[in-house]
Amino acid sequence: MAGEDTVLRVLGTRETLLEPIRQLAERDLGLSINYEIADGTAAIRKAVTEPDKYDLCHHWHSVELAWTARSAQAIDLDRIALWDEVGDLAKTGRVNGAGEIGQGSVPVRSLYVQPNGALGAAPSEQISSLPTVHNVDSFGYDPVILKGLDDEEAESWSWLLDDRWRGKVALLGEPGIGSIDAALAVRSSGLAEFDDIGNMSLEEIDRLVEILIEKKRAGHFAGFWRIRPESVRLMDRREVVIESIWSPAITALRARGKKVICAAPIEGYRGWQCGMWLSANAEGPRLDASYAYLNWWLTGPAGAVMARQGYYMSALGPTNQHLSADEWGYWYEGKPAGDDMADPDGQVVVRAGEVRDGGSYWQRMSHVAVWNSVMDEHNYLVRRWNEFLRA
Amino acid sequence: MTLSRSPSWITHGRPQLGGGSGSRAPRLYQVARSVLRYHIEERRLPPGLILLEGRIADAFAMSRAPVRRALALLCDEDLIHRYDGRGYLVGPASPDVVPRNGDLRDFGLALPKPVAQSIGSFTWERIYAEVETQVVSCIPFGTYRVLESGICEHFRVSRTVAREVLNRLRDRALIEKDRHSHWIAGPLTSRALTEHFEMRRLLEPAALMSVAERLDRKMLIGMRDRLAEAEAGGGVVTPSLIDSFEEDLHVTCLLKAKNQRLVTTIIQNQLPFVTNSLFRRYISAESGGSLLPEHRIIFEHLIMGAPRAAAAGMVAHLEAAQSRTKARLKVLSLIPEPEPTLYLERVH
Repeated sequence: MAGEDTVLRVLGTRETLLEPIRQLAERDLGLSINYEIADGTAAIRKAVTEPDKYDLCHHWHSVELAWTARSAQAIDLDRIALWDEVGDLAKTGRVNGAGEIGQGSVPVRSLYVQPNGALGAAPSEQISSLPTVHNVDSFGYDPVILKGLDDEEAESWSWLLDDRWRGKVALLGEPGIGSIDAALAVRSSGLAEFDDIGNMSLEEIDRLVEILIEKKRAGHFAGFWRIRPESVRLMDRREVVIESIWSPAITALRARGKKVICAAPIEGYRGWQCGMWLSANAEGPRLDASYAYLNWWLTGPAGAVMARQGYYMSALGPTNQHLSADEWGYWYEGKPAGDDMADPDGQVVVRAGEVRDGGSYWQRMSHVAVWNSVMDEHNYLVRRWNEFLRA
Repeated sequence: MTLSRSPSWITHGRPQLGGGSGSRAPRLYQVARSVLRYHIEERRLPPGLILLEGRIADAFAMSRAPVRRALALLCDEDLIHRYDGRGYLVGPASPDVVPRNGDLRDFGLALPKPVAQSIGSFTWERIYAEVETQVVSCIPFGTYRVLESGICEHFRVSRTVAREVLNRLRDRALIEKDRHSHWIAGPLTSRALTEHFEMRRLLEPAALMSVAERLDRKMLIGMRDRLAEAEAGGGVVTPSLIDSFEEDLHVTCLLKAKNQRLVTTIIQNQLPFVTNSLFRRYISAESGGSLLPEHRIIFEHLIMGAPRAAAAGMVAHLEAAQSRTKARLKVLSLIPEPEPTLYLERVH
């Protein structure tokens, strides 16, 4: 068992390292837990290159990098008591065995440790990281732009490059996923074709960057955000009317009384799944404490807190038990809210009668066009994307 | 032409500034170090005298890189010590030392005449390893133009010498001319790696079969035993040991092929080693992992006199190495770009 003086060191981004969750985990586990928040590339760099500085890492789509760098160690499934509660999406790539599986780095393909030490989708006794929260991302927009729309114009990624909102658009600046949002927008606008947006070729990357630089020089973009509070500020101050957005930014804006619509693009969403990997250096009491924390995440309380900022949890059943029927109905089932609902900080973000944009868990998660990806040409993409941001 | 020397990223492992050799003459940093040491030990340079990289480079009429290395080594020897981030002071660190300025030439610091003359007649070999290391280190980070004039300025060499260096880089397929006749290096992409590995799968098994009969049995047993020993030790090996395993198989054995065109083409397609060297340098000193048994099985077949089976083992090894190397290239995206130099200009 973990010693009393063991402080569990957890690395991650602000989207998952929430103070209410840390307190609940400390209370339930009788452990001291330290959360270290880092952002974007800095977080991944630290997680991959300094495994001695943390015990567990909450990550978005970087387990492949950590695995290559041998910064992560395999998680033994016989030490994960509630593995059976983890849902289909994490284990097969589909919800209820239905829907398109989507392009790009489908998380299940890097889930299981294969006999040769590589990662793959074939089930085994060890996993690279424990699947936790997941969701679909798209863009958010101010209802003011509805006035400029044609009748029955469907929500489309092309809106991000639409001249009607020139100068009032922001993109996510992080290269790995910002480029996917941008490519979805470019393809939907008919400006370029992509064989696989989740694994772009050198020519496709070059074309994408050319188009974006041209748009940037024409004054199309008001900004590029790297961390979520920047996206909230851009929309809150009306510097933009449309931007790539994450679910907690929508709830943060709603908490401020600002209505933002989260688009359900006809082309499909960008999907993602967060997981937790074990540092290669974790051992002894730290390893035991890490397993305790991993297991705790599947028991429900963390999933309930995450639901209140719009994130889904891999262990649906236990999460259901820790949400009110009304909350489960709104966040997971796409039903109208029976009453006002609060976010993890206790601020009202949903009003009675409202329905979640995009519908239920099963509707939204079965409409993934492409997953967050680490492409073959990821290195080239990152360099070219940074060139676009500097242009 | 024949490329007799194996590429520096194999023989020297991690690329380092000024790393590698290629010349039998003393290296510049060694010259700078021994001249400085002589002047310090003879107390011609007084304790407390400020030593700045740029001024010494001027006094010696050489570039800064060898001077930097010489100073770092003298500091390790405790003959000089760090001063306030500005350079070094002569003598070991002590509270009594008073920093003093002065023109080094006033203290008689100069290179002995024969050395100065030999530097004047610089040959391409002296600087080649450093330029190659720099080029190889930057290509994962984008497309770079290699400037002839920059090489002249940085190393204080003539255009003839700079051109000789560029020709050697071209022979190794590290640079090529674009349509404006500029020398271009990089980018090292996943596609380039795939193409190099496709070539290697065509060339290296064939080369191995062609040399199999001529390989010394004792040498092969020695190479096999070193691998077996590393495996028995748990497979965790140092980067330089991995480099030596790579060299045993892909250089020492293969380059014995009589067909020089084959040898040249093999060398030109061993660029993937760059990725692994940079990965070890920036990300993680890896363990040997599956490389050890992959290599060992090839040697087992060679020792048994089964060259076809050895060639099949080589194909399997190169397939596995391809996926490892491509995965490592992705991880290099986390590394900030290197500082620019006078002779490497970023294109994009």
